[in-house]
Amino acid sequence: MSETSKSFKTLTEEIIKRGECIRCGACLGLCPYLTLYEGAIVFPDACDLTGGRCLNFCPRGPVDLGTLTRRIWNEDYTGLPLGYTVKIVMAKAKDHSNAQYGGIATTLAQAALINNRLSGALLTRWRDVAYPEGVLVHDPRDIPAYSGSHYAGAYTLAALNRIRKSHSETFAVIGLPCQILALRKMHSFDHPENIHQGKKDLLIGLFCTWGLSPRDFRADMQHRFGNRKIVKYDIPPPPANRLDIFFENDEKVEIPLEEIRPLLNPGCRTCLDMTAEFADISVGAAEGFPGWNTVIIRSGKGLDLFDRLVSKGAIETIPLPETSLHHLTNAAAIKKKKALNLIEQENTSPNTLMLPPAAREAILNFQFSEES
Amino acid sequence: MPSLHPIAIDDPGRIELLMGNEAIARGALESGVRVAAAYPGNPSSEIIEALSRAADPSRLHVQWSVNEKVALEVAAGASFFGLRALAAMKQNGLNVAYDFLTNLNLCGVKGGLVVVVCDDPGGISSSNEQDTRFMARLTDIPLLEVAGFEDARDIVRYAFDLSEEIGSVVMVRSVTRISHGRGPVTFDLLPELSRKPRFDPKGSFTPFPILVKHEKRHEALLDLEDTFSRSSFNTYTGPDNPELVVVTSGIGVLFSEEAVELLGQQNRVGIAHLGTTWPLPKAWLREIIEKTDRFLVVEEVDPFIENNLKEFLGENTGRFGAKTVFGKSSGHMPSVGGLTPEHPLNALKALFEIPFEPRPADYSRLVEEKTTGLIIDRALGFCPGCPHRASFWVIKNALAKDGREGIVTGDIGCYAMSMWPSGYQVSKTLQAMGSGVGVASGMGILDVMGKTQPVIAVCGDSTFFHAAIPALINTRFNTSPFVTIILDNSATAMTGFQPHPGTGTTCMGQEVDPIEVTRICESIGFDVRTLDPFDLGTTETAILTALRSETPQVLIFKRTCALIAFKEAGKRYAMTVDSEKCIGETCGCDRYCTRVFKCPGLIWNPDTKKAEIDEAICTGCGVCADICPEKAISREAIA
Repeated sequence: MSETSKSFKTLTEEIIKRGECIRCGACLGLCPYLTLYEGAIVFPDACDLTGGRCLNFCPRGPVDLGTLTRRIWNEDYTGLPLGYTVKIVMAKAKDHSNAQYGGIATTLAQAALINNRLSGALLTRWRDVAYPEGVLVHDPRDIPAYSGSHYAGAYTLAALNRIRKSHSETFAVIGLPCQILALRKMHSFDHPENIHQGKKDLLIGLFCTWGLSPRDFRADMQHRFGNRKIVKYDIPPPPANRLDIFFENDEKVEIPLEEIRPLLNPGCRTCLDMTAEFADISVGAAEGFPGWNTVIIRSGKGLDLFDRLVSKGAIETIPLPETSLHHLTNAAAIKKKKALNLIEQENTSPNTLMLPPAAREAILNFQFSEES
Repeated sequence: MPSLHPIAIDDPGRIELLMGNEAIARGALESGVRVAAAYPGNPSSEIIEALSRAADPSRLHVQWSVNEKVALEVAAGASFFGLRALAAMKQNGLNVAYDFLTNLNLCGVKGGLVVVVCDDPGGISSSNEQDTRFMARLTDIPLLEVAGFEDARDIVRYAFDLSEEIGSVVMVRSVTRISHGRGPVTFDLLPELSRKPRFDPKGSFTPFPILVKHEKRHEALLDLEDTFSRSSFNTYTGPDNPELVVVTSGIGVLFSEEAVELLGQQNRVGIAHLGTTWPLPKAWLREIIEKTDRFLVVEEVDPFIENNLKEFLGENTGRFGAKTVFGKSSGHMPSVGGLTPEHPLNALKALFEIPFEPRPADYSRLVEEKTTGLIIDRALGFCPGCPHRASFWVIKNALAKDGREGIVTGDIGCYAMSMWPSGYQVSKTLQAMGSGVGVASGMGILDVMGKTQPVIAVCGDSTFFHAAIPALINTRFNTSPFVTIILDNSATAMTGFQPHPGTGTTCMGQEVDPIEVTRICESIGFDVRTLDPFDLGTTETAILTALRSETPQVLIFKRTCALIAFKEAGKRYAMTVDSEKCIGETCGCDRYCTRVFKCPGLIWNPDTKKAEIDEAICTGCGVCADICPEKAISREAIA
């Protein structure tokens, strides 16, 4: 995919129409050619520019993981399952009543606004809207209202593209691995129209194994529950193998994951990243420890913020048990290997993913450790 | 009331430069025509337009009928009451009228009844190319072909007389180059109009008994072979013993004469001009055939004369011996399309092996040099501010958002351009008037068989009255779920703004109650929503909602044709482009207004790399202000 090819055509033909889009939203809100309608990217007209932002922001567009990793951490990309890590712990926030798990992502975003004086946090709103969407929150007290996972692609970054036209400040962003990768591309893509270039947003990543197709998921939920108000979704760690739906009166409905799998966003199958490797700090569930998060701290910026909150008593930490680390590492490695195999077999994302050869070998030949 | 047309001037001997269609109209006036009816269609429209400006309710009724079948029925009604009547139409129109004509031929007429059909060789302003002469033969009615301007007037006069003489409808065929060309016509007397309409209660006009009536037609045609053989409309010019005779009709006559003259072959080539094309004037033709062994048939569209001549020769091989006919089947003449003088010229050059270059070898290059910069290279498209552009913009976007690969079925009208870039290539089917609705009616029913793509049918307001109503009733009756969008621009715009039942004025300038499209649709049982296509957001939402319905839907997009609106009220908005805000061809726009929306009122300035308003042609519709992604285009209402 050279720079002489038309960005829009490559994006729509090679990525969106082939089901490789992971619905991060990085290509949206930039121009009239790519717009969002009810959970799907719509493109009635063709742009004929080359070297455009859409393709170059897209996490499925050209990605050289070696260059990216060197630029962020001055390290080689080695294909390690969990990416570049400074510290991995289990943590929970002092107040995590509304949280999906340990409330760490919410607490970090609040702290980013209060302590780091960032002007806003880019979050995902899914309650009270038909389709999830990005939203910029300025008041830290408003952040908990947007906690919790929705599992359907939210195109959150479309909001950032729109907002930054009039707000040039630095933000905290809570995003999925694909969105964090897109943000790294947005921060570094050299283009006169790129308003994100050089921005140092704080990137709070969320663990993710796959997302759901927004239109299909909404249709399925409406089919099952009509317009009943859902307050929380949860996919408990294995071996639960189910999606839990919570309603307002604490009523819970369990749906076997097998029934949900057809709604899976196909683009997620070829994603290499489970733990948001390019975030400043990544947050996910802690298997076997309800109410706790697994936290992977990856940058000095992430470490500073986290340690400050620990020392203030806002976050409580315990070491991550060896078993949990094994599980997490294995899960991340399996996702990487499956995705890379698929990419190479199906020739998806053609010529877009550049991996150092050693990293490719490491991913494909990863030795899975036995449970201890 | 429109001003009196020159064809109505009662001044024998006066010479007027008339369009072919006006000469046809003059011929009708000189014949004492009392009723003339048509549905507009190029190249026939000017016949009724000219007659309407000669109309006088008690002497001559002229009308735009709802369609061509009704027009011919109206003319027949007058004929049955003993008055002379004319129906005019284009080639597609004859197809609509043909159901009636194929009964009328057996029924006979009283007052002279003439059907004038103007063919459009090359399909320049049509959805097809069609040689209607075959349809005269198929219905066993006489066919006369006009070959010039005064000739057109004379032929029409003869047609009326002939019609009354043989008690049959007579067909007159013109073609674009005659209908739309101009030539001098010397006026004859306008007759006294003394006939009083009366239907003889003892008589009847029915096709029964069918075989008897059919046979009578055949007998009449046999008689006509002799009558036509004596007709002054068939002429031969040339040597007594030519090496070749050009047999020709219509515009082919002038072109053949020009070719023979240019090649200087007057002593070797004769020209047989057929004015009475069907039935063949066999006795006259026999004399022509006996002059030579070689014939070149020059005629537009299909080989009608060519095949009839071959048939005649074949029947008489014993008498005529071996003859050679050149023409379409020999490859000397084009098998499709209209003629130019070069067609007979090149054919004769080849047959006589004459070196002749009608123009310098580098003529094309010279023309290109002289015209470069003078002729703007532009695609066929909607006018600036045309409501159809906004309509198809919204339809395109709605279908993309709907996301189920929906399609649009359409028909012929200005909106046919929606199959090209000006209408974003949205329409995927185009056939006869109103066919979009009928075809969609056959698509909607496929939902139960697993069809997932939604269908939108578009039709214009004049088309709605012409032919879409039965299809809409069918849609509702057979419950075919799709969305009909009636693009109501309050005009028969493509053919020149003729009034139609929805406009509230007749051809003769009478004010009448407009017939409302909405009420017709409502009475069929549709919950009609009327929308302004310039309100892009509301209209798009309405389409998206309608597309999801499981029952047939009708939306009316109402917005007056930009040409009419501009003429009546001038610009609606003063439009400006803020060059500071316009980001032009950079990432984020890529000339969205000039490259994608493509209203000709917007121009791209390649020097400043900004969009601009073309003040000369912008009608101030204001739509582009809603299209611009940077809000760089603004509108200000003009009081």
